[in-house]
Amino acid sequence: MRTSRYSRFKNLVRPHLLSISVAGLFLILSIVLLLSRFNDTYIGTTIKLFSSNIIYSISSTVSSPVRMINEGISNIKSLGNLYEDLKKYKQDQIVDSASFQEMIALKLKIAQYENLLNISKETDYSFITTRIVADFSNKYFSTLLVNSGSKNGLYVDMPVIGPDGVIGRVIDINNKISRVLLITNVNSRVPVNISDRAFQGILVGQGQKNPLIKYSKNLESIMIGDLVTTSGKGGVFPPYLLIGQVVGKKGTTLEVEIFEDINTLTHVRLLNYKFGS
Amino acid sequence: MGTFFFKNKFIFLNLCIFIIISFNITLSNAYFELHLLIALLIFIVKWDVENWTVPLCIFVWGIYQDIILGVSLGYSSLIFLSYFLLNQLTIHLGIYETKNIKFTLFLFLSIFIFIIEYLFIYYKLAIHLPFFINFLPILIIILLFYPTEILYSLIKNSYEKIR
Repeated sequence: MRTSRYSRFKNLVRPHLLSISVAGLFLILSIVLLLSRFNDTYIGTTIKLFSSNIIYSISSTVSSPVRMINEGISNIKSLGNLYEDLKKYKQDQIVDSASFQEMIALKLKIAQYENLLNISKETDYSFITTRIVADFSNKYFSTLLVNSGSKNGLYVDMPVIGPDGVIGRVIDINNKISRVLLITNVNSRVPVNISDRAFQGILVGQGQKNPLIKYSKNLESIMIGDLVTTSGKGGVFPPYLLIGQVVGKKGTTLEVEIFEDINTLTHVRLLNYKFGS
Repeated sequence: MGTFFFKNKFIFLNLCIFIIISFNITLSNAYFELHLLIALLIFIVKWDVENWTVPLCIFVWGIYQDIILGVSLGYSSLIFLSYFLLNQLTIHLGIYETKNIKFTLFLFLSIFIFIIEYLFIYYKLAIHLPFFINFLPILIIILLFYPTEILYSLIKNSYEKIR
Protein backbone atom coordinates (compact mmCIF):
# COMPACT_ATOMS: atom_id res chain seq x y z
CA MET A 1 0.00 0.00 0.00
CA ARG A 2 1.28 3.43 -0.96
CA THR A 3 1.79 5.96 1.80
CA SER A 4 2.22 9.70 1.37
CA ARG A 5 5.41 11.44 2.51
CA TYR A 6 3.51 13.28 5.21
CA SER A 7 2.00 10.13 6.73
CA ARG A 8 5.46 8.53 6.75
CA PHE A 9 6.73 11.59 8.57
CA LYS A 10 3.82 11.32 10.99
CA ASN A 11 4.75 7.70 11.66
CA LEU A 12 8.34 8.70 12.23
CA VAL A 13 7.46 11.44 14.72
CA ARG A 14 4.50 10.66 16.95
CA PRO A 15 1.80 13.38 16.66
CA HIS A 16 1.98 14.28 20.34
CA LEU A 17 5.75 14.75 20.02
CA LEU A 18 5.54 16.78 16.81
CA SER A 19 5.44 20.14 18.56
CA ILE A 20 8.39 19.25 20.84
CA SER A 21 10.45 17.99 17.90
CA VAL A 22 9.85 21.14 15.82
CA ALA A 23 10.53 23.34 18.87
CA GLY A 24 13.80 21.45 19.47
CA LEU A 25 14.84 21.98 15.86
CA PHE A 26 14.12 25.70 16.01
CA LEU A 27 15.91 25.93 19.35
CA ILE A 28 19.02 24.41 17.76
CA LEU A 29 18.62 26.79 14.79
CA SER A 30 18.45 29.76 17.20
CA ILE A 31 21.64 28.61 18.97
CA VAL A 32 23.39 28.23 15.60
CA LEU A 33 22.24 31.71 14.50
CA LEU A 34 23.42 33.21 17.76
CA LEU A 35 26.81 31.49 17.94
CA SER A 36 27.66 31.89 14.25
CA ARG A 37 27.02 35.64 14.51
CA PHE A 38 24.60 35.42 11.59
CA ASN A 39 23.98 39.18 11.94
CA ASP A 40 27.43 39.97 10.58
CA THR A 41 27.16 37.68 7.54
CA TYR A 42 26.11 38.97 4.14
CA ILE A 43 22.77 37.12 4.24
CA GLY A 44 22.07 38.37 7.78
CA THR A 45 22.80 41.97 6.85
CA THR A 46 20.64 41.73 3.71
CA ILE A 47 17.70 40.24 5.64
CA LYS A 48 17.95 42.97 8.26
CA LEU A 49 18.30 45.69 5.61
CA PHE A 50 15.16 44.65 3.75
CA SER A 51 13.01 43.72 6.72
CA SER A 52 13.88 46.41 9.26
CA ASN A 53 12.14 49.32 7.48
CA ILE A 54 8.87 47.37 7.29
CA ILE A 55 9.23 46.06 10.84
CA TYR A 56 9.92 49.53 12.30
CA SER A 57 6.93 50.98 10.41
CA ILE A 58 4.61 48.22 11.64
CA SER A 59 5.81 48.31 15.24
CA SER A 60 5.71 52.11 15.46
CA THR A 61 2.14 52.09 14.06
CA VAL A 62 1.03 49.44 16.57
CA SER A 63 2.68 51.22 19.49
CA SER A 64 1.54 54.72 18.46
CA PRO A 65 -1.27 54.92 21.10
CA VAL A 66 1.28 54.28 23.86
CA ARG A 67 3.67 56.81 22.35
CA MET A 68 0.91 59.42 22.23
CA ILE A 69 0.09 58.82 25.90
CA ASN A 70 3.80 59.05 26.81
CA GLU A 71 4.19 62.29 24.87
CA GLY A 72 1.06 63.70 26.51
CA ILE A 73 2.38 62.91 30.00
CA SER A 74 5.79 64.41 29.27
CA ASN A 75 4.13 67.53 27.79
CA ILE A 76 2.06 67.98 30.96
CA LYS A 77 5.20 67.52 33.06
CA SER A 78 7.15 70.06 31.02
CA LEU A 79 4.28 72.55 31.30
CA GLY A 80 4.47 72.22 35.07
CA ASN A 81 8.18 73.03 34.98
CA LEU A 82 7.74 75.99 32.63
CA TYR A 83 8.01 78.71 35.26
CA GLU A 84 11.12 77.16 36.85
CA ASP A 85 12.73 76.67 33.42
CA LEU A 86 12.11 80.31 32.47
CA LYS A 87 13.73 81.51 35.69
CA LYS A 88 16.73 79.23 35.13
CA TYR A 89 16.98 80.29 31.50
CA LYS A 90 17.17 83.98 32.47
CA GLN A 91 19.97 83.26 34.93
CA ASP A 92 21.83 81.10 32.39
CA GLN A 93 21.50 83.76 29.71
CA ILE A 94 23.67 86.17 31.70
CA VAL A 95 26.34 83.52 32.35
CA ASP A 96 26.16 82.22 28.76
CA SER A 97 26.74 85.62 27.15
CA ALA A 98 29.92 86.06 29.25
CA SER A 99 31.18 82.52 28.51
CA PHE A 100 30.31 82.88 24.83
CA GLN A 101 32.54 85.97 24.56
CA GLU A 102 35.27 84.14 26.47
CA MET A 103 34.94 81.16 24.11
CA ILE A 104 35.24 83.32 20.98
CA ALA A 105 38.35 84.98 22.43
CA LEU A 106 39.88 81.56 23.18
CA LYS A 107 39.03 80.24 19.71
CA LEU A 108 40.74 83.23 18.10
CA LYS A 109 43.75 82.76 20.35
CA ILE A 110 44.04 79.05 19.42
CA ALA A 111 43.72 79.88 15.73
CA GLN A 112 46.58 82.41 16.06
CA TYR A 113 48.81 79.86 17.88
CA GLU A 114 48.04 77.20 15.28
CA ASN A 115 49.03 79.59 12.53
CA LEU A 116 52.25 80.48 14.33
CA LEU A 117 53.16 76.79 14.87
CA ASN A 118 52.03 75.85 11.37
CA ILE A 119 49.89 72.96 12.69
CA SER A 120 47.92 71.02 10.10
CA LYS A 121 44.25 71.95 10.27
CA GLU A 122 41.68 69.55 11.78
CA THR A 123 39.02 68.38 9.36
CA ASP A 124 35.89 70.50 9.61
CA TYR A 125 32.63 68.63 9.76
CA SER A 126 28.98 69.43 9.23
CA PHE A 127 26.13 67.76 11.08
CA ILE A 128 22.60 66.46 10.63
CA THR A 129 20.04 66.86 13.41
CA THR A 130 17.58 64.01 13.70
CA ARG A 131 14.79 62.83 16.00
CA ILE A 132 14.97 59.78 18.27
CA VAL A 133 12.14 57.38 17.41
CA ALA A 134 12.94 54.59 19.86
CA ASP A 135 15.09 54.52 22.96
CA PHE A 136 16.54 51.28 24.32
CA SER A 137 19.10 53.13 26.47
CA ASN A 138 18.03 51.48 29.71
CA LYS A 139 19.22 48.01 28.75
CA TYR A 140 22.77 46.68 28.67
CA PHE A 141 22.55 46.46 24.87
CA SER A 142 21.68 50.19 24.84
CA THR A 143 20.80 51.56 21.42
CA LEU A 144 18.67 54.32 19.90
CA LEU A 145 16.70 54.46 16.67
CA VAL A 146 16.80 57.75 14.76
CA ASN A 147 14.56 58.72 11.86
CA SER A 148 17.29 59.36 9.28
CA GLY A 149 18.95 56.87 7.01
CA SER A 150 21.10 56.40 3.95
CA LYS A 151 18.84 58.68 1.90
CA ASN A 152 19.77 61.52 4.31
CA GLY A 153 23.47 60.84 3.78
CA LEU A 154 24.09 58.81 6.93
CA TYR A 155 26.82 56.16 7.00
CA VAL A 156 28.06 53.52 9.42
CA ASP A 157 30.33 54.80 12.25
CA MET A 158 28.98 58.36 12.11
CA PRO A 159 29.60 59.98 15.53
CA VAL A 160 26.43 60.97 17.42
CA ILE A 161 26.34 63.78 19.99
CA GLY A 162 23.78 65.51 22.19
CA PRO A 163 23.91 69.12 23.45
CA ASP A 164 26.24 68.15 26.33
CA GLY A 165 28.52 65.57 24.77
CA VAL A 166 29.11 62.35 22.84
CA ILE A 167 26.46 59.64 23.09
CA GLY A 168 27.52 57.03 20.53
CA ARG A 169 27.94 56.11 16.88
CA VAL A 170 25.77 54.78 14.05
CA ILE A 171 25.96 51.01 13.58
CA ASP A 172 23.06 50.10 11.28
CA ILE A 173 21.74 52.07 8.32
CA ASN A 174 18.47 51.67 6.47
CA ASN A 175 16.73 53.99 4.03
CA LYS A 176 14.81 55.97 6.62
CA ILE A 177 15.94 54.68 10.02
CA SER A 178 19.33 54.09 11.63
CA ARG A 179 20.50 52.50 14.86
CA VAL A 180 22.91 54.25 17.23
CA LEU A 181 25.19 52.23 19.52
CA LEU A 182 25.40 54.20 22.77
CA ILE A 183 28.64 54.60 24.72
CA THR A 184 26.90 52.85 27.63
CA ASN A 185 26.37 49.69 25.52
CA VAL A 186 28.50 46.75 26.70
CA ASN A 187 29.86 46.41 23.15
CA SER A 188 31.02 50.05 22.95
CA ARG A 189 34.73 50.95 23.03
CA VAL A 190 35.84 54.58 22.59
CA PRO A 191 39.47 55.83 22.70
CA VAL A 192 39.60 58.77 25.09
CA ASN A 193 41.82 61.50 26.52
CA ILE A 194 41.71 62.11 30.26
CA SER A 195 42.43 65.52 31.84
CA ASP A 196 44.23 68.43 30.17
CA ARG A 197 47.40 66.30 30.14
CA ALA A 198 45.71 63.96 27.62
CA PHE A 199 46.29 60.61 29.33
CA GLN A 200 45.07 57.81 27.08
CA GLY A 201 42.48 55.15 27.78
CA ILE A 202 39.57 53.17 26.35
CA LEU A 203 36.04 53.93 27.50
CA VAL A 204 34.07 50.70 27.92
CA GLY A 205 30.25 50.70 28.25
CA GLN A 206 28.77 48.99 31.33
CA GLY A 207 25.04 48.97 30.55
CA GLN A 208 23.07 50.80 33.22
CA LYS A 209 26.19 51.57 35.28
CA ASN A 210 28.61 54.43 34.54
CA PRO A 211 31.12 53.53 31.80
CA LEU A 212 34.69 52.64 32.83
CA ILE A 213 38.05 53.67 31.39
CA LYS A 214 40.39 50.72 30.99
CA TYR A 215 44.02 50.35 29.85
CA SER A 216 45.08 53.73 31.24
CA LYS A 217 48.64 53.89 32.54
CA ASN A 218 48.76 57.11 34.55
CA LEU A 219 46.16 56.40 37.20
CA GLU A 220 48.06 58.17 40.00
CA SER A 221 48.13 61.44 38.02
CA ILE A 222 44.41 61.36 37.21
CA MET A 223 42.14 63.18 39.66
CA ILE A 224 38.45 62.90 40.39
CA GLY A 225 36.68 65.55 38.29
CA ASP A 226 39.13 65.37 35.37
CA LEU A 227 37.45 65.83 32.01
CA VAL A 228 37.17 62.95 29.55
CA THR A 229 37.13 63.74 25.83
CA THR A 230 37.46 61.73 22.63
CA SER A 231 41.09 61.28 21.58
CA GLY A 232 40.42 61.02 17.85
CA LYS A 233 42.38 57.76 17.70
CA GLY A 234 40.65 55.07 15.70
CA GLY A 235 39.31 57.64 13.27
CA VAL A 236 35.64 57.26 14.22
CA PHE A 237 35.23 60.23 16.57
CA PRO A 238 36.82 63.64 16.01
CA PRO A 239 39.18 64.68 18.84
CA TYR A 240 38.24 66.87 21.83
CA LEU A 241 34.53 66.04 21.96
CA LEU A 242 33.31 66.11 25.56
CA ILE A 243 32.16 62.81 27.04
CA GLY A 244 32.11 63.23 30.82
CA GLN A 245 34.24 63.42 33.93
CA VAL A 246 36.06 61.00 36.19
CA VAL A 247 33.99 60.25 39.29
CA GLY A 248 35.84 57.30 40.78
CA LYS A 249 38.82 54.98 40.73
CA LYS A 250 38.34 51.20 40.97
CA GLY A 251 41.63 49.32 40.88
CA THR A 252 43.06 49.78 37.41
CA THR A 253 39.90 51.34 36.02
CA LEU A 254 38.32 54.78 36.20
CA GLU A 255 34.60 55.40 36.53
CA VAL A 256 33.19 58.09 34.24
CA GLU A 257 29.94 59.98 34.59
CA ILE A 258 28.78 61.00 31.13
CA PHE A 259 27.53 64.59 30.71
CA GLU A 260 24.65 63.74 28.45
CA ASP A 261 21.41 62.54 30.01
CA ILE A 262 20.39 60.20 27.19
CA ASN A 263 16.95 59.41 28.64
CA THR A 264 15.82 63.03 28.29
CA LEU A 265 17.02 63.54 24.72
CA THR A 266 14.53 63.91 21.89
CA HIS A 267 16.94 64.93 19.11
CA VAL A 268 20.60 64.15 18.38
CA ARG A 269 23.30 65.45 16.07
CA LEU A 270 25.11 63.17 13.65
CA LEU A 271 28.55 64.48 12.71
CA ASN A 272 29.68 64.19 9.13
CA TYR A 273 33.25 63.36 10.12
CA LYS A 274 35.31 61.12 7.88
CA PHE A 275 38.86 60.57 9.01
CA GLY A 276 41.41 61.43 6.33
CA SER A 277 38.90 62.88 3.87
CA MET B 1 -14.64 36.97 26.34
CA GLY B 2 -13.63 33.47 27.45
CA THR B 3 -15.46 31.80 24.55
CA PHE B 4 -14.00 34.23 22.04
CA PHE B 5 -10.53 33.74 23.49
CA PHE B 6 -10.58 29.95 23.44
CA LYS B 7 -12.21 29.57 20.03
CA ASN B 8 -9.53 31.76 18.46
CA LYS B 9 -6.80 31.00 21.02
CA PHE B 10 -3.98 30.60 18.54
CA ILE B 11 -4.77 33.81 16.62
CA PHE B 12 -5.46 35.78 19.80
CA LEU B 13 -2.21 34.75 21.50
CA ASN B 14 -0.16 35.49 18.40
CA LEU B 15 -1.82 38.90 18.19
CA CYS B 16 -0.98 39.52 21.87
CA ILE B 17 2.66 38.53 21.31
CA PHE B 18 2.85 40.76 18.24
CA ILE B 19 1.44 43.78 20.12
CA ILE B 20 3.67 43.26 23.18
CA ILE B 21 6.80 42.97 21.00
CA SER B 22 5.80 46.10 19.05
CA PHE B 23 5.43 48.01 22.33
CA ASN B 24 9.20 47.56 22.84
CA ILE B 25 9.65 50.69 20.70
CA THR B 26 7.85 52.93 23.21
CA LEU B 27 7.76 50.99 26.48
CA SER B 28 11.44 50.36 27.06
CA ASN B 29 12.14 50.03 30.76
CA ALA B 30 15.08 48.82 32.82
CA TYR B 31 12.93 47.10 35.43
CA PHE B 32 10.26 45.51 33.29
CA GLU B 33 11.30 43.60 30.20
CA LEU B 34 8.58 42.84 27.70
CA HIS B 35 10.33 39.78 26.27
CA LEU B 36 10.14 38.15 29.70
CA LEU B 37 6.41 38.88 29.81
CA ILE B 38 6.05 37.09 26.47
CA ALA B 39 8.10 34.19 27.84
CA LEU B 40 5.71 34.00 30.81
CA LEU B 41 2.72 34.03 28.45
CA ILE B 42 4.25 31.27 26.32
CA PHE B 43 4.95 29.19 29.43
CA ILE B 44 1.49 29.57 30.99
CA VAL B 45 -0.72 28.90 27.96
CA LYS B 46 -1.71 25.29 27.22
CA TRP B 47 -0.56 25.02 23.61
CA ASP B 48 -1.78 22.30 21.30
CA VAL B 49 0.86 19.53 21.38
CA GLU B 50 0.11 18.43 17.82
CA ASN B 51 0.27 21.89 16.25
CA TRP B 52 3.79 22.24 14.84
CA THR B 53 3.11 25.81 13.63
CA VAL B 54 3.27 27.11 17.23
CA PRO B 55 7.09 26.75 17.57
CA LEU B 56 7.47 28.14 14.05
CA CYS B 57 5.44 31.24 14.98
CA ILE B 58 7.38 31.65 18.24
CA PHE B 59 10.65 31.47 16.28
CA VAL B 60 9.42 34.14 13.84
CA TRP B 61 8.29 36.42 16.71
CA GLY B 62 11.74 36.02 18.23
CA ILE B 63 13.40 37.17 15.01
CA TYR B 64 10.91 40.07 14.80
CA GLN B 65 11.89 41.19 18.31
CA ASP B 66 15.63 40.81 17.60
CA ILE B 67 15.33 43.17 14.63
CA ILE B 68 13.42 45.74 16.72
CA LEU B 69 15.91 45.61 19.61
CA GLY B 70 18.97 45.36 17.37
CA VAL B 71 20.37 42.30 19.12
CA SER B 72 21.89 39.21 17.49
CA LEU B 73 19.36 37.16 15.52
CA GLY B 74 18.35 34.09 17.47
CA TYR B 75 18.59 35.63 20.97
CA SER B 76 14.85 36.13 21.61
CA SER B 77 13.86 32.96 19.75
CA LEU B 78 16.18 30.97 22.00
CA ILE B 79 14.55 32.39 25.13
CA PHE B 80 10.97 32.01 23.86
CA LEU B 81 11.53 28.46 22.59
CA SER B 82 13.17 27.40 25.87
CA TYR B 83 10.00 28.39 27.74
CA PHE B 84 7.83 26.77 25.08
CA LEU B 85 9.78 23.51 25.24
CA LEU B 86 9.47 23.44 29.02
CA ASN B 87 5.72 24.12 28.69
CA GLN B 88 5.36 21.17 26.30
CA LEU B 89 7.37 18.94 28.63
CA THR B 90 5.08 19.79 31.56
CA ILE B 91 2.09 18.79 29.40
CA HIS B 92 3.75 15.50 28.40
CA LEU B 93 4.83 14.65 31.91
CA GLY B 94 1.35 15.43 33.21
CA ILE B 95 2.42 18.17 35.59
CA TYR B 96 0.86 21.06 33.66
CA GLU B 97 -2.05 21.36 36.10
CA THR B 98 0.25 21.29 39.18
CA LYS B 99 0.87 25.00 39.64
CA ASN B 100 3.65 24.77 42.22
CA ILE B 101 5.82 22.41 40.18
CA LYS B 102 5.19 24.57 37.11
CA PHE B 103 6.24 27.64 39.07
CA THR B 104 9.42 25.89 40.30
CA LEU B 105 10.33 24.92 36.73
CA PHE B 106 9.67 28.47 35.54
CA LEU B 107 11.81 29.84 38.35
CA PHE B 108 14.70 27.49 37.59
CA LEU B 109 14.63 28.20 33.86
CA SER B 110 14.52 31.99 34.45
CA ILE B 111 17.48 31.82 36.84
CA PHE B 112 19.36 29.47 34.49
CA ILE B 113 18.91 31.85 31.51
CA PHE B 114 19.96 34.81 33.68
CA ILE B 115 23.12 33.01 34.85
CA ILE B 116 24.09 31.98 31.29
CA GLU B 117 23.57 35.57 30.05
CA TYR B 118 25.46 37.01 33.00
CA LEU B 119 28.41 34.62 32.60
CA PHE B 120 28.52 35.24 28.85
CA ILE B 121 28.83 39.01 29.39
CA TYR B 122 31.34 38.50 32.19
CA TYR B 123 33.69 36.15 30.32
CA LYS B 124 33.17 37.19 26.71
CA LEU B 125 33.06 40.97 27.20
CA ALA B 126 34.91 41.17 30.54
CA ILE B 127 32.13 43.30 32.02
CA HIS B 128 30.82 42.90 35.54
CA LEU B 129 27.15 43.92 35.41
CA PRO B 130 25.36 44.99 38.62
CA PHE B 131 23.66 41.81 39.80
CA PHE B 132 20.52 43.23 41.44
CA ILE B 133 19.56 45.73 38.70
CA ASN B 134 19.85 43.02 36.07
CA PHE B 135 18.03 40.43 38.17
CA LEU B 136 15.14 42.78 39.02
CA PRO B 137 13.21 42.29 35.70
CA ILE B 138 13.38 38.51 36.21
CA LEU B 139 12.23 38.89 39.81
CA ILE B 140 9.24 40.99 38.69
CA ILE B 141 8.25 38.39 36.08
CA ILE B 142 8.59 35.59 38.66
CA LEU B 143 6.27 37.56 40.97
CA LEU B 144 3.82 37.95 38.08
CA PHE B 145 3.61 34.17 37.57
CA TYR B 146 0.73 33.43 39.93
CA PRO B 147 -1.45 36.46 39.00
CA THR B 148 -1.07 35.61 35.29
CA GLU B 149 -1.73 31.93 35.96
CA ILE B 150 -4.91 32.80 37.93
CA LEU B 151 -6.08 35.15 35.17
CA TYR B 152 -5.53 32.48 32.53
CA SER B 153 -7.37 29.86 34.65
CA LEU B 154 -10.31 32.25 35.12
CA ILE B 155 -10.64 32.79 31.36
CA LYS B 156 -10.29 29.03 30.77
CA ASN B 157 -12.89 28.13 33.43
CA SER B 158 -15.40 30.68 32.16
CA TYR B 159 -15.10 29.11 28.69
CA GLU B 160 -15.51 25.56 30.01
CA LYS B 161 -18.62 26.56 32.00
CA ILE B 162 -20.24 28.05 28.87
CA ARG B 163 -19.33 24.96 26.85
